[in-house]
Amino acid sequence: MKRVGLMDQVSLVLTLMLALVGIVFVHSSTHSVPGQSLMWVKQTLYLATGMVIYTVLALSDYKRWVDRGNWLGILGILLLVAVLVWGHKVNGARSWFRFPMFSLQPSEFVKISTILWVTKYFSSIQERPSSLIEFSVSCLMIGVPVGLIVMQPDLGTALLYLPFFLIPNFLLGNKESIWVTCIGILFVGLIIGGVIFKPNWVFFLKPYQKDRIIAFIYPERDTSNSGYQVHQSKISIGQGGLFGMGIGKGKQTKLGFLPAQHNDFILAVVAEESGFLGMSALMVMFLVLFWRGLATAVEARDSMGSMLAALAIGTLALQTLFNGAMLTGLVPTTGIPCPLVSAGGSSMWTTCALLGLVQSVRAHRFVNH
Amino acid sequence: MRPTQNLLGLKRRLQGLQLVVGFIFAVVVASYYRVQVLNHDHYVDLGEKYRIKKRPVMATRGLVYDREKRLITRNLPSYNLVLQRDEMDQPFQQALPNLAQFLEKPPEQLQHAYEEYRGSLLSQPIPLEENVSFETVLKALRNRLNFPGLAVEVSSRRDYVYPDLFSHVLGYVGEASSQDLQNNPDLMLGDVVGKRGIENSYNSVLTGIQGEKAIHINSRGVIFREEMENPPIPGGNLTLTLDLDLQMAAKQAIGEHGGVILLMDVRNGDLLVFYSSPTFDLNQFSKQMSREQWADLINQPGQPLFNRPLQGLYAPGSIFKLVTVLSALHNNLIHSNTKVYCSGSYQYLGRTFHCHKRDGHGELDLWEAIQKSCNVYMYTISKDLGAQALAETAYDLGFGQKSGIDVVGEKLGIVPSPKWKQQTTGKPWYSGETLNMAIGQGNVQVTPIQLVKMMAIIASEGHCPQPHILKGLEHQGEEQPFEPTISRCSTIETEHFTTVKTAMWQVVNRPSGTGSAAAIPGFDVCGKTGTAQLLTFRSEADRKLERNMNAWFAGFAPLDNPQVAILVLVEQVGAGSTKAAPIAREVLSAYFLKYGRLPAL
Repeated sequence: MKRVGLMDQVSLVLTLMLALVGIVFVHSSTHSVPGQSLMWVKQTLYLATGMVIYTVLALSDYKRWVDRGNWLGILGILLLVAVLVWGHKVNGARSWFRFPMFSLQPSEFVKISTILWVTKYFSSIQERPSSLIEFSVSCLMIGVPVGLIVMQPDLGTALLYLPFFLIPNFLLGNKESIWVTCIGILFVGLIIGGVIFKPNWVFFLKPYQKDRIIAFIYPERDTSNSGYQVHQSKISIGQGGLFGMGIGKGKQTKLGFLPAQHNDFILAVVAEESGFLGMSALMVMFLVLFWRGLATAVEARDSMGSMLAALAIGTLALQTLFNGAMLTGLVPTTGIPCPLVSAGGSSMWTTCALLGLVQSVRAHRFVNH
Repeated sequence: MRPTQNLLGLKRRLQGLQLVVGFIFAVVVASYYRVQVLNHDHYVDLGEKYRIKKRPVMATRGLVYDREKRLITRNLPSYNLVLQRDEMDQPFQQALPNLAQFLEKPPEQLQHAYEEYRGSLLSQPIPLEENVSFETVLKALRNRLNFPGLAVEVSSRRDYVYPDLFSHVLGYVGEASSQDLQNNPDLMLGDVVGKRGIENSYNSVLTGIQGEKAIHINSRGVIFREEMENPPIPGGNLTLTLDLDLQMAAKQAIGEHGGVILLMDVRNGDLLVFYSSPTFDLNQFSKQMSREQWADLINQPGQPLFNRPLQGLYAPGSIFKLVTVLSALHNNLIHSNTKVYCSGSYQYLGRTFHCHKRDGHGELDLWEAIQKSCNVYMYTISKDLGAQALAETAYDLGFGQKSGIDVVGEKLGIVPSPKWKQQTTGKPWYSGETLNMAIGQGNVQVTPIQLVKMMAIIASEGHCPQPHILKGLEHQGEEQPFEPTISRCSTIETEHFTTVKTAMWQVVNRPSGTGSAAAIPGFDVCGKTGTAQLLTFRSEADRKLERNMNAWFAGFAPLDNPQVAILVLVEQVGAGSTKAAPIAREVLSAYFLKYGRLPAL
């Protein structure tokens, strides 16, 4: 049980607090909706099972999991292929396995296996090789799952794989990869420009993806679909003011103007009901959680631990920030949930697993133990 | 394992990553600050725009009573299907096919209604169907969520308690036409306005002021709260001078014939009876009328929509002889015992002018001339009088001008004169026309309301009451009685009126008088009959046909301290003495039965 003493108590408490805030607002936004009134109970169950995963992983040595990285990585790719074949179609995307009582989103879990795979690859390099080879290999390892996820299509979740090839190359100081990244960002910029000015040229994006990009650039122009969500989320957030309208007393969200408010848009409910102060407090909690995670990466006993913690925190931080920024219209709308807070089992379990692995790095920071 | 300096570099880069994450967090939090704190008011306004919609609240239209406060026009609730554009979740064109199928209406009809409201405020409901059945209301409410924007609106519809009794004087209401909208900038598309009669002339009093309410809706368009922001101010109620009982008596007396009955209080101008026959059902206009119904109304031979008392232009026939006599007296050409010999015809400039009595009346004085309605007497005096003097007297007695009644649409009529003829036809006046004019034929055209007004002027010996329908109005709790003005308007001397009045008494109360059928013992009815030839006839036989003659009776009662003036016109039935005078008697009897004392028998 000495490992428990070596764990980061602050991170554990923050994880639980954020998840509890999530349950409160899941309750607030669903308890009066017919058919969803018990969603907060489900969310509590997801948290409880998530914490079991968290504890198991935190107490085990992360090296055991990284060593199985190749197998897990390939298993992940097989899962993604399987979901393309047998998956259930929701809103035009084949992203979910549907079971009698619940649904699973493999692209969430594959984040874990991909992290372990990437970590294994980079930590197994004994001598410093050509950085371009490393970059190319990592591109392939990450490119296959990302490609499969884009085929679903689920651009938002695919985006969360971005840190997996940015962070290792950044941490290892591969300058070339930074250049390639810049070119990549330029490429994305060209696509967005193409959608806006010559939509017919961008043949590889689906119509609704083009709509979302246009809605992002001109949120007020189209208030019916994608633009409508951002428009409504901004109105909801704006209602909150400094102090908020009180939990359960949101006007805009309670009247159902905001879609998907218990999962992807739950931060808008938090913002409307607890105001700018509550929202800032939530963001500070996330920031402290991620900072301590990165501090764990610094303190890790080996580069494997550093890489693992940095990758886990990197993807979670990107997810949190992207979700938060999408509600105020800073970035385009993508269907990604807020870690720990949004309703949903796949996201909760994946987040708990990633944070559990980070705890494991922390608990095993001393070489001799 | 990596060399130590690499691990140190790793550490530095991880700390750099912390800074990057921290910076982006700051940016995101700043974006929340901007939306939540800096632009808070803007988003509160925007949110209200989604949750709170303004809706007009119609003011109830004023009620209308008869002179004894009996309700004759009221409002009944009407359930209307409307389309609320700002609650729709898809463009109209997309919703149209399903909506049309659901409502079982041709899509073109809905399209037409939609087009009509293009450009109006989005909050304005588009009426789809008025006064729908209870089943339709339920069906619409049940399917509300399938057709966002489809709503049931409760409004009031005009209901006329006696649908065909007061049709021409009350008029009817309808949706404001584009013409109405142009004339009155305060009107909105779909507003109800009075189209004719009292509904039209007192529209501003009856309408009231539209209010506004705020409705709170959720994202599915379900209303969960309503607040009245400006309560509507109901329209004012009108009390009319009309008398329900007498109007009914008039309708019964004239029956199915085309014609007019007017009964006016000569002391103040109150119109007690205003009846135009044939009549029509006013409540037809409160519903949406089909094209066929409308065509049917327009094309009926009796022209029921025609407001005869104000717009009918008629040759007055022998009643105009009173004008001729008054003109001659006023111009000192004759006096009451000036005698003329009637041989049955009169030669003038080589033409023969006939009297209605072919073998002549013999020698008669002014009294007898009026009593027997002798044409030759009139020919003789008008020859010296001249057309211009006759026209001036006619104008003095109210012809050729509006009576001033408070119902719009009144016609002027024509008082011919040499000057008038020169201006309108460019031809000179023939002296023979003066003779025709003297007996109320030729180009003379008068409206029934002008005739009843002339009766009032004669009865009150030169005083002109303004004919009116409004007795008083009640607006926002305040009663405002209508105050009639009566002033002496005629330049004709009182003694001449007295002479004519006496003659008119003889017309009715002497057995040889043409109006004896109007006599009511004890009430001294005075009057003058008229029989106006309608068409140009080909033969002597045609001339005698009753359908070519309009029957007139105009008069007042009693002789001393006159109370009411009466006018009866029955179209295309024959002589005034036999067809109009008995009707006048019935109506006057009804009046005296109610307002006067019948002499003990």
